[in-house]
Amino acid sequence: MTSEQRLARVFVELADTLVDEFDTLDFLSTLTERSVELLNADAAGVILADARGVLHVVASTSDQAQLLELLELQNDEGPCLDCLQSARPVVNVGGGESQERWPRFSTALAEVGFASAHAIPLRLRDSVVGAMNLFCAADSQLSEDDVAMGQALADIATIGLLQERAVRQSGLIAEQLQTALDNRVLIEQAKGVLMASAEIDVDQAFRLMREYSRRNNYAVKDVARQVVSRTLSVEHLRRS
Amino acid sequence: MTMTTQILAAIGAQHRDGQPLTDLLCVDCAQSLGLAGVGMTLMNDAGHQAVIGTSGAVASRLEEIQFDLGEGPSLDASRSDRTVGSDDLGAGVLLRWPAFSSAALAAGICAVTAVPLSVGGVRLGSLSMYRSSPGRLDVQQQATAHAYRGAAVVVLLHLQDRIPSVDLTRDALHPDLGAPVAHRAEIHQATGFLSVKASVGMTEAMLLLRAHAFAADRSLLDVARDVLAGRLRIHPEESEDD
Repeated sequence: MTSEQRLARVFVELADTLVDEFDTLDFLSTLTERSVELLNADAAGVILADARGVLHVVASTSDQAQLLELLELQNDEGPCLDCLQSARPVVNVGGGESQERWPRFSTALAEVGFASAHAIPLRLRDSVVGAMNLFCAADSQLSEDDVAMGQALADIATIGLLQERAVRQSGLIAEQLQTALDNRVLIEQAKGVLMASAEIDVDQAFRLMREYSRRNNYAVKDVARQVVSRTLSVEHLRRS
Repeated sequence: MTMTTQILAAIGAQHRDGQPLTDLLCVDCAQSLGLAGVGMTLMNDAGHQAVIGTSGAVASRLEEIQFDLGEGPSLDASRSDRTVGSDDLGAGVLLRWPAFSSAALAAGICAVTAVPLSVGGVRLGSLSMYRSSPGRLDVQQQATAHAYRGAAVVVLLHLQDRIPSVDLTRDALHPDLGAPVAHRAEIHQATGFLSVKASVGMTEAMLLLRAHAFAADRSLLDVARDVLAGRLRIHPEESEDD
């Protein structure tokens, strides 16, 4: 297989997020594994920001990579954090400069046996959602082509991630809409049950359920469900 | 810009206070496809729950009557999560929706296409397109109808997403969705009421209400009000022998 064919295959692999069992962690593991292969790195990891902007280490090809990324978060220094801040790749930072910019990170990097580290942002237009770290045993330099390829891999992964988030968000809203609808119907039916059982009007029926739910710290919809299933009688609503 | 985005931009630009986006979408859809009417409904697993948007009186009537009858293309589209329809409601001997078809023909509607509104397997409702002459939508029209379906789902999610988070625990619905649901409140109350009086389950109570309304040629809402006021007693047929 030529390198172009391999690259094309990786792109298809990363673009295929429209599967039933999409798993974010599996997806990011694929990104890190393929990036290590294609960019001649020795390890890789991904840091992602959650909805509140808190950073998490979500995927790593090795324990050392994970350790280094956790260290970056703990010490608040390292190529990945600079990359997140600037939204630009942080690559080919030499030993001396690295030691100066990220003293604790650089020491730890050497301790676990790596000579260089690079970071590429996961971004879509203005939004940076995370960054990918690449760790190399040799003090290697990424060429312009390498950086461009790494960024392309990161870009397609970001699209996949954001798409999955959007789909999940829509699904949640849709389910919430359904639940709201179901509960509305249930509450009205329960009012009718109480009206017929106790010869009361609609407002009295609702008040009966609301006051019972407040006294006993239940949600009205749950009281309504029990009224409809006849497990809660008018007498019980009045007494307790 | 995709066709769906164009539709959303167009109805967003027309949006003023007091006119729901759902109505604007139906009007826009009817105009661009040259239809006699378009109606948008909200459904859950129990069926048709509310008419949340219409292009006008004809669509409004045909959506309401499907709820009253418990049959029709809007219901089938949502239930099956597929596009359903009829190119000629007057043709054929074995009609799929006999009661709905005669009501539609009486209102001057000869053909209908109903598309489901759903998100990842969660069924939300339907968008139905009514035509005054028999015939099918051509390929271009089908593509446009599909784009309106996409826009309708976006509008629904947008409305539901705009509820203040404090209300989420209360199972809130956006007012543009909640008001049409509340319009049916008495029907659900009457269902609960009748289930006690006739000693039947909720599903059977609703069927009894429907059957009475159909036989008496009255709207379900009117029948429900009479039941709640004690002016009308409905008994299951079996109990008459008791």
